[in-house]
Amino acid sequence: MSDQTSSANTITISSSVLLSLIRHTSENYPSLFSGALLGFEDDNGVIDVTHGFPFPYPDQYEGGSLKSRSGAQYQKDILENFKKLGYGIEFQGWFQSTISGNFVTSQLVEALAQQQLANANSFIIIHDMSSIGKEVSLKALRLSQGFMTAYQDGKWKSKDLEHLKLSYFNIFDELNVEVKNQALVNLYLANLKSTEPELDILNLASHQTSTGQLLESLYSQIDSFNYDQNNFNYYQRQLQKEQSKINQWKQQRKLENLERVKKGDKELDTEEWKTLFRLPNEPSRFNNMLHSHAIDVLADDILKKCDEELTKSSVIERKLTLA
Amino acid sequence: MSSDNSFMHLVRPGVSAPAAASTAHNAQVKIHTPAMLSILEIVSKQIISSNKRIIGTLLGSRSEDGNIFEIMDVFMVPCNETGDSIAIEDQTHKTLYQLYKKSHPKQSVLGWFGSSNTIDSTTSLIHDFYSKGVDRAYPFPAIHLNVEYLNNDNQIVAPKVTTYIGAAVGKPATTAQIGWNTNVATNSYIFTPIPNQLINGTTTEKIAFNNLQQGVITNTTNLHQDLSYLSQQLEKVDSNLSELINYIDSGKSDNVDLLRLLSNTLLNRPQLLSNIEELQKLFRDHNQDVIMVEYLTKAVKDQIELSARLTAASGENKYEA
Repeated sequence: MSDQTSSANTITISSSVLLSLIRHTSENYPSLFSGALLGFEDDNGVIDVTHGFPFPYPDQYEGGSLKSRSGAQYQKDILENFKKLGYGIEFQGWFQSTISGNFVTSQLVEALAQQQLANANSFIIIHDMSSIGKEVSLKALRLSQGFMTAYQDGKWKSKDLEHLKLSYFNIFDELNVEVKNQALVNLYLANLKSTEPELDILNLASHQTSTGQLLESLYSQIDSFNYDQNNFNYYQRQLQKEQSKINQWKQQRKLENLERVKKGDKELDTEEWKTLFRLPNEPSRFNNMLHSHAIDVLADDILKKCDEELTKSSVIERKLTLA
Repeated sequence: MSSDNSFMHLVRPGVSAPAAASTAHNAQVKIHTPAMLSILEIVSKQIISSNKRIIGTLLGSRSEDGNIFEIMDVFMVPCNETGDSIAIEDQTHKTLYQLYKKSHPKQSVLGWFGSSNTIDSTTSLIHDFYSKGVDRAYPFPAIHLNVEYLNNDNQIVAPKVTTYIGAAVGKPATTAQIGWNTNVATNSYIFTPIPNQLINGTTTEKIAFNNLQQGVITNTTNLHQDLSYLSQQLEKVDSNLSELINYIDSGKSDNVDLLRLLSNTLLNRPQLLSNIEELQKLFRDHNQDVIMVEYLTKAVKDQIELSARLTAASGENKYEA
């Protein structure tokens, strides 16, 4: 690919697209949904998202529809027909609904990486529904430069990651998302009577299951992490075993050489161990990175939930003493 | 948003038999916000392309008795107006509808929208197109949504939305060009205004919409919220409580329902609520639990980071070996 670096780091999205994607994902909760975002890239390095549509079927897991045959065909059909309407739009990215850090699946990352190879400015908008009914949480992500380099070379060993300064902290770059409306839409919105505030978000009890759900997701991510880590630990033990064998061999050769010097014989090659021993191959750290990232996001969200719960609960407790 | 009271609910006419009365009444339209904003976006094209007529299809669902229309989405349909006749690209309508149907199997075509300051014979022609055919509103009556954004002096003003239900009158006689086929079209429709209101589909959507609306006024829209919303919520609870207390203190008794609700709530409260000590203990236990969860979660987070750093460090060592 000639143009590797992404040039557009701001996304503007129209209110109608934003609301319709939020409606579709929240109305189908707890089913997961994804879809395509269409628009165009302007000369100032801004991606304008003007249209969006969901894929016909819910996702089994995050990223499931992005590269599926039916999803891709649907995306193609819609885009073709929108173009017939005279819209100068192209595919720009996807959206995906998820719970907290669960979106970091190899399928989603793989699909996004493929897409970024075709167009370095592709992105995905993640709608986190762990606080559904309470707040709206959206973020636009793109795989980082470091990740893309490792992906292209297919190198996921710890020394490669170290070399690229890649860790689970910087798999993704977060992009700036802004809302941009047509003038007529703004005129309309500004003239609406302000809608009544949503009282449901004040209901303390309606939210109690979500922390539990997050914790369950965390357990299962930790399980996957451990499964992967076991392989790695096995490798490390093997490596250690081989290394101590090598050290033993080196020690012996050293002694042997000392003997030979005394006798006046020619010294033996000290580097011969390289042909005698083979170090085990390090397993890929790819999955480890994804699981770590998911766990990190989940942990952050749980901590946030806990802070929230503690604040509310303490407020009530304090007031009780006054009663 | 129009109040229901200002509408006269006439007998709603059916479409299959022109001018035949159906017993249902009280028709009303609920417009979902994303659909409304999409309509405005599409209509904006009319301003740009110097008043060439722009129309589109309304999609959504009907209540079981067919009286409540929920507009959930829309798409544009190209059309060409020449003098008195209009050619609607029905193939585009058909394809887009079929594609939409794949991801929204429960929704169907409700009618159409446009932007015009008057209802004329072309309005009837378009309405006729949407009233007939399998992939359109038939066998239900089609509705028409009109956006008016120009005042009498042709200045752009805040868009005004009116919804109508159309009923055919007279005998079908006129031959008009619709799409590629020449159809026998009913040329006369009565457009009865019906009330409409803007609604939010889900709570999450409503929160987002309130944010957007606020954003238009303050020019910033927050999509990713931190804990600051919590203090907003607490302030809201606080102000609601003071409002309630003020009302009670004022000694008024005009809101009987509220007072009844309050006294019932107080009478039916769980016994536990009178036992402050027990309650305090429960709250403290709960807080301890939350702190425990928090502590363990932090431990997990740190473990993961430690693991990543140790692996990186061991990788370095091996390099040197």
